[in-house]
Amino acid sequence: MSQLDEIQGNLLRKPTGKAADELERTASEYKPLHSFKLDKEKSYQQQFADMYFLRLTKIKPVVEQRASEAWRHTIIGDEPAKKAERVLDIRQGELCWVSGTVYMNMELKPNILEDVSQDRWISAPLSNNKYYADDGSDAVALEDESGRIRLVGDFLNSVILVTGCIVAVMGTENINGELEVIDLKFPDLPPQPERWATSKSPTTNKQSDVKGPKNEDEEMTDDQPKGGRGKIAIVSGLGFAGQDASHALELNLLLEYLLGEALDPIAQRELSQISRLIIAGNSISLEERQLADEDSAEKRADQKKYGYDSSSYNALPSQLFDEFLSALLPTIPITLLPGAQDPANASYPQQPIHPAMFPLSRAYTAPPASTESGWLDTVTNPWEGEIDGWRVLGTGGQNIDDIFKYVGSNDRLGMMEATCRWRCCAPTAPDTLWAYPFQDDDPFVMHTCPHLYLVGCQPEFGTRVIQGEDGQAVRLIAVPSFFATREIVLVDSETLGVSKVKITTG
Amino acid sequence: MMDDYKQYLAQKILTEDQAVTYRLLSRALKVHANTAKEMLYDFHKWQSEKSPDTLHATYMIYGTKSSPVQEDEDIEMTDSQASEVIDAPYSDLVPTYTLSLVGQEKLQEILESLSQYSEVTSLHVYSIAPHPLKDFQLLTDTSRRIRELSTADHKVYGTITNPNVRKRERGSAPIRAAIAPQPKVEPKPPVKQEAKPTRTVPVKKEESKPTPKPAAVSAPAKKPQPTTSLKRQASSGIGQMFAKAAAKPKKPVTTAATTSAAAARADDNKASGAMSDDGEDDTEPMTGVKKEDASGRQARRDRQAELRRMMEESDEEEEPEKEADSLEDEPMDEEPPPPEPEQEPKVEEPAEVVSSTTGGRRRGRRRVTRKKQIMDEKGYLVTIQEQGWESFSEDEPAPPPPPPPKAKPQLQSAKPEPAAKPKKGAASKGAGQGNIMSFFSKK
Repeated sequence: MSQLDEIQGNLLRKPTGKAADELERTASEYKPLHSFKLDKEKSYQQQFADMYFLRLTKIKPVVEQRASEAWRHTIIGDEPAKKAERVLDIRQGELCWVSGTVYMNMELKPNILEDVSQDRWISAPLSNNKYYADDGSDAVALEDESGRIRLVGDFLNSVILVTGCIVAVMGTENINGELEVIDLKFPDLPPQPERWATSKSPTTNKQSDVKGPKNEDEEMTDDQPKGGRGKIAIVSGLGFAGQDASHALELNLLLEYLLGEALDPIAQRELSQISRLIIAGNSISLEERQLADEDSAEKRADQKKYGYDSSSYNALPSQLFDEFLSALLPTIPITLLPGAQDPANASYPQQPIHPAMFPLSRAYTAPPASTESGWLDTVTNPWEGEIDGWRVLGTGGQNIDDIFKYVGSNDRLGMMEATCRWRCCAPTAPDTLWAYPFQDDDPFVMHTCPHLYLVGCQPEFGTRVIQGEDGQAVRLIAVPSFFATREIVLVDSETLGVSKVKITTG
Repeated sequence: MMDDYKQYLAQKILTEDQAVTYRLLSRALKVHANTAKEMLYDFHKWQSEKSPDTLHATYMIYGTKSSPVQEDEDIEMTDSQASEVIDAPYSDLVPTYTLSLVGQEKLQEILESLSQYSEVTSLHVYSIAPHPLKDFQLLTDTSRRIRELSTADHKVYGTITNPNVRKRERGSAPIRAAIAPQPKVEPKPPVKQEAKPTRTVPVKKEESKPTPKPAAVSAPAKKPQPTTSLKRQASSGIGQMFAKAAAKPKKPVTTAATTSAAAARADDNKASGAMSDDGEDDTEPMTGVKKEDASGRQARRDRQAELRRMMEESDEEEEPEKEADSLEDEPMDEEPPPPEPEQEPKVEEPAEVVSSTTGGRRRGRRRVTRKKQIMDEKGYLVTIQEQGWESFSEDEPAPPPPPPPKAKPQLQSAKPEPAAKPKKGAASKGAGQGNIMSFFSKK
C-alpha cells in the first residue's frame, strides 16, 4: 500500500469535516440548426428519384470545377482529356472525363426493382450483413440523367464508393462499353465556417479565433488556465433495457461520474468542465423487445390490433432512461439524438424523440411552439448545430453502418472521411438507407464543413483529424456503443482534442 | 455528529444486512458525497480493527491505465499514431481514463503491482457490504433508495451545480383536465352500444345453437379488449355482449339468458341488429370521438337505461373497465356497420331513430330484417329471418368492405351470400332509398 500516498485524490482517510467547494459547471454555448427537421405535415406520395436529381445538380458544379482544374491540362498519349457533358456523350476510345452519380450493382444488395418485378411487397428485414462480395462480382456504374456506364479499372479499388455519391472520373471507354478509370475526383470538403460563425462567443475578445483542430498543438502551449475550457461528453448506445441489467451498474457509475459525485475533489473539478452531454443514438435496447415478441406471439395473437400488441409493450426501458436523464438534467444540458433502436421514425432523417417519452425530464425540453432550444434538446438524426462555436455534425450511426455494408474494409473513420469528401453525409439514402422522399432539397448534402463530426453507435472508438485543401480541418469521432464498450468520449471544447473514459467493474 | 454515521452504518450493514454506497450514505445523512466516502472508509477501518473480515468494501479507482499516454488530457497523441493501434484502425491514440470498481481483494493487487495503472488519480471507497459482492450489479439496487432520499438541494450532496439550467414551468393542470372529462362522459354510452350487439347475438344464437360455432359470433370478436375480457367472462349480462374478446365461453350463457326474451326483444325497439359494430374497429379509424355531441350522448344514455332495465343482470362491476374501452369502442356506432356476411341484410325500414345530426351526418339506428342462413344439425341449410337494429350514419362514403375474417362464418352457412352482400349493405344505409331487393325479400 505504499503507493497510496502518491495518489493525489485519495479519500481513504478519516472524515475531515472540511466544507467542500461548491462546483459550478462550465456553461455551454449551444445553437442547434434545424437542417434536418421535417415538416409535421409531410407527404409520402412523392418518388425518390428527385433526391438523386437534386443531389446531382447540387454537387455536380463543384465536382466539375475540381475535375476541370485537375484535368484541364492532362494529356495522355497526345490526347487531351475532354469533358463529356453527359454519360451518353462518351465516345469510345476518346480520353474524357465526366461526372455523375455512382451506382453500385451488387448481388447482395436489396434491389427494389427486383422486388417489384417479383411482386414482393414486404420489406425485407434489415440485416447487418455486408452487400460487398469478395469475388469481384460487384460492379460500379456512373449514371446521370442521360444514362449509365460501367466503371472499371484498378483505380476504383483505392477509393471508397457507394451508391449515391457524386464523383467525376477520367478515362476512356473500352471495347466493352466500359469506362477505364484513370483518375477519380470527389467534390472534397465543403467550405468550413469560422468558429463562432452563427453563435456569439461569450468572450469575443478572449483570444484570436482558433482555426480548427489542427491548431491544437499551438493551442496547448497557451498558458490558459485549465479550468477555463469546457468539455463535451459524447455517449451512444446506452441501451437501457427492462430485463438485461448487465450494465446497470456501469450506467450508474456513468451517472455519478457526470454528476460529479464520484471521485475526489480534484477530479471533480475537472468533471465540472463537462459542459454538455450528447447522446448519439440507441439509448434504448432492442434485444429484449424481440425476445418478448417471440415468447408471447402465440398467446397474444388474438389480442392484436393493427398488427400491434400493446399489452406486450414494456415501458421499463424508457422509464429507466427517463430517470437517468432527469437525474442528469439539473446539472448538465443534454442533446439527444435518436438512433436505430430509439422510439423515433425509422427513416432518415430521424425526427426528434417525442418528449412525451420522458415524463420526468420533459420539463427541461423546449415548449412545443418555441424556437428556443431546450435544456434537454431532443434533436434529429443527423443533426447539425454549433457547440461552443464549433460547427458539429452528429448522426446516430446508420449512415456509416450502411456505407459499411458496401465496402470491404472496417475503417469506419475512413467512411466518415469519405462522407465529408463526397459532401454527402448519407449517400446511400434513399437506396439502402431508408429516407424520406425529399422533393425540394437534399439535406444530406453538406454545404458547410463541420469542425466536429461524430457518429454514434459504432463498434469501437476511433478519432482522427482530416484536412481539406482550403485549410478545413474536421475532427472525426466514431463514438462506441456504451452498452458494448462502456466507453464515453470527452472532447475539449477549445482544441477539439479527444479523450475517453472507460468504466469497468470487477 | 461524528459517530452518527457509525451508528447508521452499523445498523444498515451489520443489522439489516444491506450494502451501503457512498451516495446512499450521503443522502441518508445529508452530507457531501466526499464526506460520505471518508465516512465509509473510516467505518470500514474501525470495524475491521474490531473484527476483521466482517465488512467488504469496494473501491473506485480512477486513473490512466498503463499506456504511453500521460495524464494531461490535452495532449494529443498524434505522433504515436503509427506505433500503436488500439482502437479503430487508423485512429489517433487518445488518453484513456479508466473508472473502475474493484473489490478490496483486488485493490491490494492493483496498488501493489501497479501493473495496470500508470497513474491513479483518485481512490475512494465506493460501498461497504456485509458480504463479498459476487456481482457488483447488486449495488444498483440502492439507486432507487437514493432517488427517494434525494430530497435536499443537490448542492448538499456535492453534485455539480449548473446555474444556467432552464426548466419550463408547465401547467400540468390543463392536461389532466383534458383527460379527465372524457372518461366521465364517454364511459356510459359505450356500454350501451356494446349492449346492442349483445342483443342480437342471442337472437341469432337461438337458431344457430346447433352449429358447432355459431356463425353469429362475428369474426371481429378476436379483436382486442384484452383488459376487459376477463371480467366479461366472469359476469353475465351486458358484459357478455362484448363477447368479442372471448366468444366461446360466453356463448352458452348468452343463449340461456336470452332465449326466452329474444323474440320479444327483436320486436322491441331496444334490441339492435348491429352485429357489425364490432367489425368497425378494424376498418374505421377512431375519428368519431370528437364529433360526438351532447345529443348523441344523451340519446345513448337513454337507450342504455332502457337496456339495463331489460337485462336482469347488473353490470356495475364492469363499468370501470369499460371506460378504458369506451374511447375505442365509441366510434363504432357512428359509422355504419359494414354489411354482414352472415346476415343477408334484406332491409326494411320499419323504424328509424335518428340520434344525432352533426356535421352533415345523420346518425341513428333503424330496424332491419335480415335473412340468415345457418346449418342445422342435419347439415341442412336453414334460412331464417330476423329483425334487428342497425346503426347508420347517413353521409357515409361507401361502406368499408366486409373485413376478411367474417368470411369464415359464411363458409359454414351458405355460399351464395357473398356476392350480393356488399351492395345491399350499402343500400340499406341510405335511409330513403328503396331497394328493389328489399322489396322482394319481404314477401
